[in-house]
Amino acid sequence: MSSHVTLQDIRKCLMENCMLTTPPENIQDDTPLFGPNSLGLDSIDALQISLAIETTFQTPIKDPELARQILATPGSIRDWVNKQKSL
Amino acid sequence: MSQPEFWDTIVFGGGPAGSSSAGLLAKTGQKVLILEKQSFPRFHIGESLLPYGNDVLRELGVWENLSSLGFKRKLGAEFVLGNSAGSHRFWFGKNLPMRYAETFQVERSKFDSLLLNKACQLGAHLLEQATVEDVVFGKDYVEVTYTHQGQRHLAKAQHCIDASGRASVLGRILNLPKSDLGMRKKIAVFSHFDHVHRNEGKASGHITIVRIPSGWFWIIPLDEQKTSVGLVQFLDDFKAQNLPPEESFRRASESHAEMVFRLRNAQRLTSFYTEADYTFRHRRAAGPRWILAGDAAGFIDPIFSSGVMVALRSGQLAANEVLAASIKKHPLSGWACRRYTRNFKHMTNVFSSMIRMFYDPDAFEVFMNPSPLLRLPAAVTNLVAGNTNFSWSLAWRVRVFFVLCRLQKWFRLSPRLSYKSTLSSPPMQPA
Repeated sequence: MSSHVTLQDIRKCLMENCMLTTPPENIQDDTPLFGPNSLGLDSIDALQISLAIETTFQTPIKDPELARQILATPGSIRDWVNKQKSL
Repeated sequence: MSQPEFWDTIVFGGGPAGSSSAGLLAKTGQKVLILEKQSFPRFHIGESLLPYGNDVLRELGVWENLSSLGFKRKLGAEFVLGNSAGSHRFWFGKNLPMRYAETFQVERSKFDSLLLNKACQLGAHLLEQATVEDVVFGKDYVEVTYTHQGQRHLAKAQHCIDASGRASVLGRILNLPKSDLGMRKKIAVFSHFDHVHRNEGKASGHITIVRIPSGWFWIIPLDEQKTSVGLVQFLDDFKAQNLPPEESFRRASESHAEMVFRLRNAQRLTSFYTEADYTFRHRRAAGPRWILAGDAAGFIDPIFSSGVMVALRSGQLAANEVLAASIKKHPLSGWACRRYTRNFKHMTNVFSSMIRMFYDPDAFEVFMNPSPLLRLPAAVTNLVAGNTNFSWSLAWRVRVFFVLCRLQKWFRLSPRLSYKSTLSSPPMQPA
């Protein structure tokens, strides 16, 4: 496992692609990205992130149904990217 | 047959329920005999503890030993979909008081020996390879016939505690009525492995449950190397496959991305074990001179790792009831029996609601993404940690959670989960 993706990498990816008002330290593994009590991202952000995941980590999310699940929290993105990279 | 020996309490079985009740009774000065069918250490399934069993381990005085003996610290639990696209991590420390912030994953051969040794240190007398043959209830005592080293012996006691596990010695002798709680029968295929992929950092001791459409896998890190991995399926589905257990395990693990990822470097250490786990619970868990504790009283389902915790807590409850009765030199009163049965049923009812929720695909979606309103995630963490004594504020939030689980079928309260495969190529089928 050469390049392991960490929470920090995901934070960076989020900061670069979305207009976030929250400081990155406040983004935890299990901070929801969408919905109530979340970072308040919208569908445009979702598109941006999924594109960014594809270009940065070379792990495209092909299925929109799965994308919704994978983009739930920074932790779920990180786990998914790491698993895809190692398969 | 030799002359009868007299004891305060005779305990059938030296597993966690037996050694906790025997240990706690011996600690108060009671004369306790443990009759264990096998000789320890022996293999047993059920390798994960829940934080709400910690109190009993502390009371027994083995808590400190657990970390020094190298058992893996468990700070939470993790539920992952088989396609890796979706996971939920629980951290006990986040929503629970300090003393429930962590517990352990335990290789049962070591853990059970530790507990049994402790019970002996506290003064309980142990006979291994002793089989209970018959139990007769007299007016003032209970009479137990057992075989040990090829000889039949007779022992008398004021009370007996049946902690014989699913064999349920006393349940069979007394022909106690039981219920299957309307659960579908299941089968588990499992083994120990080396080099299973672990979570990073503090989550390395988490139990991982991998949910697949037809059942689930458990991944339990036992120590620094060894990991227990098992597959649970419905018994009728398993029979319909018409495959040997290890083949069924192999196929299931090769067709789910998460398992391929976890097991890609894994080496199996032992042969596969199989256990058909049928749900049952005795309608009564106590009578005038007897109490059932742990699996002997009822076994529900392994999914939430409730087995050892229920064993420890019912062992403790049983010890308290027996002690209270024997101080008064009376058999257990009808009231005490009903109270014990009610307590045991309440404990297992909480888990059976959880288990029904887990196997219901709609309800499971609520569990994986509980609404952050009303501090529901905290309530769910309490449930996952094995809390069954709810304060009022927790009790109604738990109720709301289960109501949402039921409503999810008609209203999309939590996002739907997709089990669609993320494997690039379908798994190879053998010719």
